[in-house]
Amino acid sequence: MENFQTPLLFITLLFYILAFVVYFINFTYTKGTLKIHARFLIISAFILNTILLVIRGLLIGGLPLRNLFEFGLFFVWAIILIFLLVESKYELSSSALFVLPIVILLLLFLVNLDVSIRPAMPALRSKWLIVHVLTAVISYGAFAMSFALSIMYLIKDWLQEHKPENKFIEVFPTLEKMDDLSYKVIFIGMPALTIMLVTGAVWAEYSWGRYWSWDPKETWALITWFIYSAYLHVRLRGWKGKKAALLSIVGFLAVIFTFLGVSYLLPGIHSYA
Amino acid sequence: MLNFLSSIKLAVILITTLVLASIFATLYPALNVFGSFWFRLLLLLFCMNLFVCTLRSLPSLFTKIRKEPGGLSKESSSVRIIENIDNLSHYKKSLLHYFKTKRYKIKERSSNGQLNILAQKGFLNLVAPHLLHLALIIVLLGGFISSFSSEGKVKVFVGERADVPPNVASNMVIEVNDFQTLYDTQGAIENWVTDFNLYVNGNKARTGTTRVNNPFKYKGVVFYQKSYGYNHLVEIAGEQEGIYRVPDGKIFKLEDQFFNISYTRAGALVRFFRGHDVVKTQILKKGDKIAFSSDTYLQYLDIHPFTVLGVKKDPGTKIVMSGFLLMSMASMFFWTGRYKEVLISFNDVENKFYFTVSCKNKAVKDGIIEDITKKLEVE
Repeated sequence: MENFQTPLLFITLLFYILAFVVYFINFTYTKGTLKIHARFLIISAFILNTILLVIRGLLIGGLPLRNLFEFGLFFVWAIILIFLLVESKYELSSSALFVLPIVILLLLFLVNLDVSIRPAMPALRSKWLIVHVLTAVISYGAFAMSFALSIMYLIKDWLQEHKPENKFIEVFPTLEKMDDLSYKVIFIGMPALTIMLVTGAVWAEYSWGRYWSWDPKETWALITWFIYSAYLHVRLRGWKGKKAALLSIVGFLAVIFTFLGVSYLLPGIHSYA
Repeated sequence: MLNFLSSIKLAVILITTLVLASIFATLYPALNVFGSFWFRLLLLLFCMNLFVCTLRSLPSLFTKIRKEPGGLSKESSSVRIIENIDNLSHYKKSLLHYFKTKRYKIKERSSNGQLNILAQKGFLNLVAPHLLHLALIIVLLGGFISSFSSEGKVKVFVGERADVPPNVASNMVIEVNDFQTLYDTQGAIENWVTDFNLYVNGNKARTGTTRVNNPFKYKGVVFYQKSYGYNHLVEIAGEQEGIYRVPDGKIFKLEDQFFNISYTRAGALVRFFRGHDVVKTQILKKGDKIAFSSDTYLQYLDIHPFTVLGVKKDPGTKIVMSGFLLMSMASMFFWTGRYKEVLISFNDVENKFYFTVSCKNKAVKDGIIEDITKKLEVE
């Protein structure tokens, strides 16, 4: 089964790319006639993504959340899960044009990682891992969705001002709807991020004897938490629309840096993540 | 001053400064930003901001929770008036049933010929931000107390004793009975376990076990499995005759031969070197000998493992953990659905009723209004 992982990963990537292409054609050249095909492709890719996670889980005998590859795979899965939930409730299929590139880029990064199965180090053999990493996945998935909506918001806002005839103005939901949904998904992600930080700290206390070490990974997770806290607070002061969208984008950049940048540029005691 | 100290504006300024300082700190770790006075001052200000903000918001929170149903002002723009209802008492029952099935908390009061009903739901969500602020204050307070904690390490060979660093606990001695590496069914390392006795003032106080992710605690002193290692007990006959304790992996020279001994599950692995290259390997068990020349040999006597335990006494940890528990609870409360409040006044004499719905989520608010008016249509 271990040998299935790489081919399945490439097939999943291919399906996500195809889904993106079909969504793009659907919104650019046809008038929504290909939407059902695009949806079929993205759901197929999501199922393949799930199968890959199940295979990985069976191979390691637990939830695949122990290293960068497994976390990345779950991260992609969570982004699509949140996209599918939001899309089905609020009719937001055009957001696929911005969610899928994030997913594709992440998978392009993941295909370069070592997929071989290695035993987990003793510190990772803890029940805290499941809550800590699962909540990270949920929050990061929600923030990715909010990021996509914020980018859409800024594009539509710019198009309305500079190119009012552009067809994407009609394709995208209203500015108010995107702003509101971006806020709502952050509201889902933020408590998850808080629980992620808390469970990580409790686990660190049990494992390393210190609940907080100012390790780069935990510091950047805290920076991300601060940015989204600021987002929620400034909304109370009436920051909506463009300013809020920009802050949401900054927040997601911090997420990406915590996930990838810290792992490669600022190594610390989270060496396995 | 108090207004500014509790303001969102100050909160945002502080959060932004903390973010910038933290980014700077991770880029230049040598500067020890997190241990600096100004960073601690920032945290103190942040804590004060949270405290004053929480304190000032508590009265309005309690007012909302303990709110009583009262007459509605007809002039208020948010009040909706429904008139000429055929069967007001039946509609009343129907609405009450609706709120009950939706699990609202209902309060009823009659005054001046009017029946006033207050239906509330989502208290947990209402409390969540305040609880989160309170939890953060507790965590920061615990963190401050933690800065007075003491910690250290103690290295002990199996069968031997060592003092716990006196800055952590005075007159405390550890005696290690056993140290084991545990393996899972696939042969991978699962954990490291140290069994030990604890002596206080010369008297045996407790027997304990510590392993990774499962520290041992005794009266506020916590013991963590930090590290481990092996020495090898060997007897050498010949020119350098004697019994030696050889550290694992350290290279030695005997009769012009360079070698080291390392622990493996199969036994002690002896590696002979020429330059950097390994030229010969051999597994030794207890009693095995290696001859270096006709009158020089090495006999492997035993393995001598040691364990390194982290020892800590931190009165702030429990406070921080309670803060964390509250933070988790508050976070989950955010997911329980927005606070909703419906205030209704039935006027039997005028055959009409007034109502107002409060909820920060506009879609939810519109949904409740729609439900109430739909009930009327059905009746």
